[in-house]
Amino acid sequence: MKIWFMAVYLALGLSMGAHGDSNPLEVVEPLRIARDSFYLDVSKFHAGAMTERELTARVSEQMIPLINSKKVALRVMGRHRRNSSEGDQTLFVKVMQETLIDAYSKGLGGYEGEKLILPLRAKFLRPGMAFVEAKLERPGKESIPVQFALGLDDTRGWLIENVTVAGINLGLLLRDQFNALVSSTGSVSGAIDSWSFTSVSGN
Amino acid sequence: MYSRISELSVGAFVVLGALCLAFLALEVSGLTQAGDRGSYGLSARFDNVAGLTGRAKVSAAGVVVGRVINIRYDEQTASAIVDMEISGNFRKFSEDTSASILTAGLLGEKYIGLSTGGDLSNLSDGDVIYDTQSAIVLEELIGKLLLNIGGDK
Repeated sequence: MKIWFMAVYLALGLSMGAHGDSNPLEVVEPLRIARDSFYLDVSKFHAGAMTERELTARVSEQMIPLINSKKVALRVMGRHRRNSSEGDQTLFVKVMQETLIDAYSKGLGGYEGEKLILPLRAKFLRPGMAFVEAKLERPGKESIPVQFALGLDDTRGWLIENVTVAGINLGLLLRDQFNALVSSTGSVSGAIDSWSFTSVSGN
Repeated sequence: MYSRISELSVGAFVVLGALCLAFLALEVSGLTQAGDRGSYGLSARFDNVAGLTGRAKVSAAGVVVGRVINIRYDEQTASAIVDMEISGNFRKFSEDTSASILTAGLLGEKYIGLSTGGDLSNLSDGDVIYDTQSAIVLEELIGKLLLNIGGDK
């Protein structure tokens, strides 16, 4: 399961610097800077120069504006969104943000020198949508392909909307988990109440 | 007289058997479902469609909603584009609907599963689904498993 944490937190690191760019190709250079600053943060954290709480707070400030949390959350809700209240939707967006931060924090604990190779190429699918293909190199292990789906937001620029790790679509995986939670709890609000990264990744 | 009835019975049995076989073949191949007048086309982009064939089922929540009508290779994005014909009875697929290549039955028949997203606007004729889950290739899976086991030692 550690690899999921790794992919998610590196994905979050990747998004830094993408804000405001109008072309995914132009995102590449800021991504390198973001990735390197991410490595610096990790090294500080592991050297004890930064506590986990400080790091999580820093991540929270930087990360939330760079991911389309609302779109991610509503996609995860899937068909249940249409039967949910505005309050449920707003709450789940907040819960999803907390989930991503939690994933980031947990991923840091499992960092073992993995390197994110940026990007092999960008694919333009249609106006306002692009995929960036990267590779996660792990010391002594096979590298893992990581694909980022980016959408162009009218006001916030290019934002990450989904991540596919080693061919596994994380957004779809989380949607399945949300469906399972709705079935087990019997309601959308029940699923939101019991949602956490630990609960979904532990299944 | 008795022999004639017996011969006719055997003949009828053989004809019935042939009809059953023909019905089975048509059902398995998916040729029985003719396109309805209100059907519309959707496409989905996959990195890998291994094992998916033309006429494969397209389902949503286990209900067959359409068929694969064409699979082609897109050289620009180096990915596969699957064209589907969806029955006009099923039109409420949100714009962020996901498509997965799934496996059914003991024979490993591949089909496409649609999972509706949260967007309030719906897909319409000619739209493309980009949020997809490609086919799982067993050889790749075993290879990764073996490499991970080796790496963990």
